Order: sequence, then C-alpha cells, then structure tokens
Amino acid sequence: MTLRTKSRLAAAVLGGLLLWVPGHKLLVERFDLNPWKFGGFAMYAVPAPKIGIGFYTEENGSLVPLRMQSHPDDQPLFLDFFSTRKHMGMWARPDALATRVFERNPAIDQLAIVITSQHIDPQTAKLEKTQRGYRYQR
Amino acid sequence: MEPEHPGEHSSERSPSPEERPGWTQRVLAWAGDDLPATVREAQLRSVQIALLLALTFELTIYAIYRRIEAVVDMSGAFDRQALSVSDVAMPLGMGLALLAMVLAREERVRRWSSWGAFAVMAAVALTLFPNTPNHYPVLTIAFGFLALFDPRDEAEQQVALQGLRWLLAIVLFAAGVQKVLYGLYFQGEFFAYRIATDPAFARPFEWLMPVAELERLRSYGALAEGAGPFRSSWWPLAALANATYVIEMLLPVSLFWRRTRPLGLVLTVLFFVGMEIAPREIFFGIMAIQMTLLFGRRDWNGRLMPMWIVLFLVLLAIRNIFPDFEFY
Repeated sequence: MTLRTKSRLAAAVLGGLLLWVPGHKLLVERFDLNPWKFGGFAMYAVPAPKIGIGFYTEENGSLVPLRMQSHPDDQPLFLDFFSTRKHMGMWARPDALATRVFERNPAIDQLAIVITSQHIDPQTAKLEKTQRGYRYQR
Repeated sequence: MEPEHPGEHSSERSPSPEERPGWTQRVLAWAGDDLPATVREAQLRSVQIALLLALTFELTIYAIYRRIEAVVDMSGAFDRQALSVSDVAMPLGMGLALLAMVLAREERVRRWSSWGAFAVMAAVALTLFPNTPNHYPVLTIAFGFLALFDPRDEAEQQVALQGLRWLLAIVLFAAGVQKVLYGLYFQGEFFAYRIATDPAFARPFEWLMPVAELERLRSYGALAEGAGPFRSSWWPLAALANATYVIEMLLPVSLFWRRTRPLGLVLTVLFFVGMEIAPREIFFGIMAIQMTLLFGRRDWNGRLMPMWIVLFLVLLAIRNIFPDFEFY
C-alpha cells in the first residue's frame, strides 16, 4: 500500500469520526440512544440517561398497574433489559420481558409496558419525562 | 559535479504525481512539524508503550476488581451465574495488552505489536458493546494508525504522528461541539443539574456558591417531573459552563498553530488534569494526556514513563485501601 493510499485511509477515518458527531446527535434524538455512549463524545453534555419501567394490565377497559408475580430468577433478565434499554433506546424492545411477565402471571391476557426516560428541556431548564408504551396480547 | 547516473538529480528533480502529496496528506500536515526523524520515531514508540501500559492497567482494574465484586457475593461465595463473556475477555485482553507492550519495545516486532493491540482493542470494544467506553474506539483508531504506517520509514512516521495528533484534536473539539448542540451549557444548566443531584460534584461549590442558591438547586433532588429550573442566578456558574466548551473548541486550534503549540500543549494537559477533579474519568484523561504530549518537541511520553508507572501503582494502592474510591 502506498503512502498516499494510507494517508487517504487515515483521513477517511478521521473525517468519519468528525461527521459522526452530528450523526450521533441525530440518532440520540430520534431513537433515544444513550448520548454518553457510541463514541459521540457527548458525555457531560447532558445528564446520563435514567429510565423507569411500569407494567400495566387492562381492567374494565382501563389500564391499571399490574400487581406482578415475579421470581428471583427473573432479576438478571430485568437488569439486562434496563442496561440495554438505557444505551440502545428504542432499538431495545421489551418483548422478552412481556413473555416472562405472561409466564409468571397466568391470570392476565393484556399487558402494557411503559418506559419512562427523562431529560432537561433546554428552553425551560426543567425536567421532562417521556413515556413510550408497548402493548402485548397473550 | 556530474551526477553518478545521468538524469538522476535526487535533490532537485520534481516529484512524480505519485510522490507529490495529495490533498489528504496536505490537510494531515496541518498537524505536522519539522522535528528530527529520531525524535518522531521515539515519540511514536513511546506513545505506543504508554497507551498499552495504561490499557493494561485499565483492564487489570476491570478484570480484578469490578468483576470480582460482581461475581463474589458479600459472604464470599462465588456466583457462577454472574460470570459473563467479559470475565474471560478482560483478563485475556489484559494479558495480550501486556504482551503487546513488551513487544513494542523491540524494533523488529513493533508493528506486529501495533496490529495485535489494534485487534485486542477492537475485540474488547465489541465485547463490551453497547456499554463500550468512548475512549476505546479512540484507542482502536490510534493503534490502527500505529500499525498502518511503517515506523521505520521516515515519511510514514510523519503521517502517523500527524494522524494521531488529528485524532486527539477531533476528540477534544467534538466534546465542545456536543455541549453546544445539546444546549445545556449556555446558562449553566448541566452544572446546576449536577449540583442538584451529585453530592460529590456539588462539594467544591459549597465553598463558593451563595447558600440560598445551593439550597434551591438541592431542593430538586427528588427529580419529579417539572423539577427545576436548572439554571443559576450565580453568574460564575454560567461563566464556567460557557468557558468549558469554548476552551474545548479553542485548544485544538492552539495545538495546530505552531506559534501557540507549546502554550496549547501545556493548557491542554492542564485542562485534562483539571477535568479529573470532578468526573474522575481517569482512563480517558490519561489517554488524552498521552496523546496531547505528541504535540511536544520532545519525547515526553518516554520521559514521563516512570511517572505513569508510579501513578498506576498509587491508584492501585488507593483502590485497595479505599474500595469506595471509584474511578473510570
């Protein structure tokens, strides 16, 4: 490989890294990815993401919080999802959690999983929460 | 005096189109210099060893402490289920990084060491995905450059050094740009949020900030929806926040302009040292300082190698004595 080719390759890598900065920002906004990860160098630009998960079922046509039957063996699955969702945002769907919840709770036929993430609105400087819901049928 | 071979005027002939630097080489050369080849060669060798030393230390901390804490419960029982792929990958990576560091000292096999380091770094980064620390892709690219360019060829050495300098400058500049894009620095919003939620971050401000303002921010600690505003009427906080991204974007400029390069080097190192006071992102900071030192006119990484070794031993000792002292 000639020096010119090697230089082009190095420049392409560096140029790609520079272009990744706005690309990273767009993906974070669109898919709720973790801004602190994926080599976008946005750590300390925004608070590190925090998420919460709520489980609901349908009773008499309205959603009510699910009184869950869980098992200690489920903990790794839930922790793993928390970690993955925090980083991968909307690219990590809670389908495996839904399957497990149906297994542990034979009495329910409908399930809604609501994932809450929080961010600071730059306009108001106040904390805002965003919710995304996933509905499942047994 | 006649040339030995007719038509061969090695110092005067114009270079062929293949030899003439292309535009990518000319842009890379913005980070260039007129250092003697021996200094450049020493800089590249030392930064490779220094980066591998830091990586070995980081993987040691990860493999020995973090994972042991995860797989051994409070009673000392071993939890086999908590073992993960990274429990094998991290000690293996640590051993290979150590081997690559030893090999990097040998002229004949240094390039093989670079390829090895590149492969190890890429594998570790992929193993940890999506929780990969941001400095791992940077290290992967850095080892890639060290492997791509032949360290025994003077022209290639020059481009390798320029590439590594550009890499550091882009990382620093990108950090500043992101702070502008997210818009939480113009009135100190991010710092106000950290003061409200992170007691360790708030500690230095207890001495400086008006008590009423500090208490107001801390009162949002529960973080219910609508908490805030995370802005401060105390102007030094906004000034500090705005200075942060301005400095991050100006320091690369000062490193590129040869007239300001020595000052830029000192300020950039001080900036990274200062950054360690609050976030304690020690591994990122060490990598960044080692790469910043490449802008010097001497082999600073080689000269400071004993300091790196002492620093790592001190950090290991601190981690043993104070297990709660976390660094990343």
